[in-house]
Amino acid sequence: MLRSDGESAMAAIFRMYYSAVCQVVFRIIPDRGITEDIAQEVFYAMWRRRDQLEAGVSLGAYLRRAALNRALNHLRDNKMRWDDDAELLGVEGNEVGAHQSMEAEELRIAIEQQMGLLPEKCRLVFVLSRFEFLSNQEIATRLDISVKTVENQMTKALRLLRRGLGPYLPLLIFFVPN
Amino acid sequence: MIIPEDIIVSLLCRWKGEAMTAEDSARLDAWLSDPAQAEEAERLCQVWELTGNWSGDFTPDVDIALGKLQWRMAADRRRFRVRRSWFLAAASILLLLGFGAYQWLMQPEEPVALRTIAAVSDEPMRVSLPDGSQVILQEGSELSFPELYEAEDIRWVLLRGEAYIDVVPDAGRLFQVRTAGAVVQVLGTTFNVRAISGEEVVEVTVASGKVSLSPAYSQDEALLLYPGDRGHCHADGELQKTKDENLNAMSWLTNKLIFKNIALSQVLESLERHYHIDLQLERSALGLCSYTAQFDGLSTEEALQTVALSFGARLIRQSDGQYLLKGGTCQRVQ
Repeated sequence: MLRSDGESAMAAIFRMYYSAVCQVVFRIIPDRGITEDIAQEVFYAMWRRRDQLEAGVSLGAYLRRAALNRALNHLRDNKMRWDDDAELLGVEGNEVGAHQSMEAEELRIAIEQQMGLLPEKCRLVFVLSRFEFLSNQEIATRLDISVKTVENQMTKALRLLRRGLGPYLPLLIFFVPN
Repeated sequence: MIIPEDIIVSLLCRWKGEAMTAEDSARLDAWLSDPAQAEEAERLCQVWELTGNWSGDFTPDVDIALGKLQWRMAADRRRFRVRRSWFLAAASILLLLGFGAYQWLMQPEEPVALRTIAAVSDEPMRVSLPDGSQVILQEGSELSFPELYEAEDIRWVLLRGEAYIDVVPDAGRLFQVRTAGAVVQVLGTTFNVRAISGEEVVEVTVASGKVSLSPAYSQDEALLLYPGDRGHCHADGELQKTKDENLNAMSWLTNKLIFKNIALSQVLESLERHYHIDLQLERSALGLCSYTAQFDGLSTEEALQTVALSFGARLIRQSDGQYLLKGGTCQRVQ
């Protein structure tokens, strides 16, 4: 589509994918200005490379991957600090009391809050694993850290989120095997 | 209960469908055979599922961003055209210069590098453009432009918000202000553009020179504006010209408001815009009264009190930024 009718096709693609591209970047770099700048470059670079795009590759997947690469390059070039290895205290706290049914909006806000509360490095590793489906080995390579560190950070993220979201978890129903 | 790290790592592999060793797999199954531990693993899995709904609370302004991209694409195209005309002119002497010149003419263009400046402080911000033109950017507004104009055959900026622009004349090279809704084109002049996100109308006021105003997506139509004119470009592309009677469009810059026999309803509009407030009349008929005054750097309440006194009305502050003029009469109706 891009090869034949350039600019109007590009506008349609932009409208379809811009928000999604912003979302990929914003999860990694929660800064509106930087996110929009990076997303802009993703589309502009695609436009300039439109003759080299391979047919058959999903545009959505291509843009998502390009956004991820640019966001990680941005972090690398801006020397993100990896200094938030604070000890986890009282991970076990806040055991779940009554499982009241929560409104979807309340749950959304809780997830938003808990993600925001994760330390920066921890959140980044978690985001790459959860939303970009990278393996621990891939995350380690992309961020230039050890697999062990990735495992630590994933564990830390899950434990923190488990504690924070505990009260919102749906009731478990177990079937006792005969 | 705290799940050990190696178990969490294995659980993650299982949820994400990644390969794991038979040894890890067996250890995980052994650990899960304890019902309490299995329940805790199930809870952790729920946490994993729930976080999938995380949006990263951010809704970008797609139109503005697309406008930016389209401008860079258009700039590429224009520069290609410039190169091509070079090519035609150079074609006749190409044989003399040889293959090197041919290669230079055909090499791919450098991408357009954009600079973006946002006026985030409480004060208007002065910005110099690469050609020496001056922009005063209203608080909260944003301006993008190419780092160099040399390669462009049009000088252009992208604007979100409000700016006062003094364009340096440049023989034959147009200057364009592009907003989400409209394009303003000039040769050399001073003018004010107001294109606030969320406001349907783009407003242009001319201080000197001549300006043309077009809808963003059909530049065949154009409205010519001269000093004292105010042009509106509506969201549907409709263009409209009125005489700018009260000349307060640039009050954000001068901090001066001048009213000469202006209907009070229009005075209120200027006050609301200038002071970022909401001002209502208890007696709507008062809006027809004529008003003459000059405010020079007055605070919000000083200005509103002055208006209230002129009509024998009472100023009531209803909440932060919300005011009401209660009562009042006037002799002279506009």
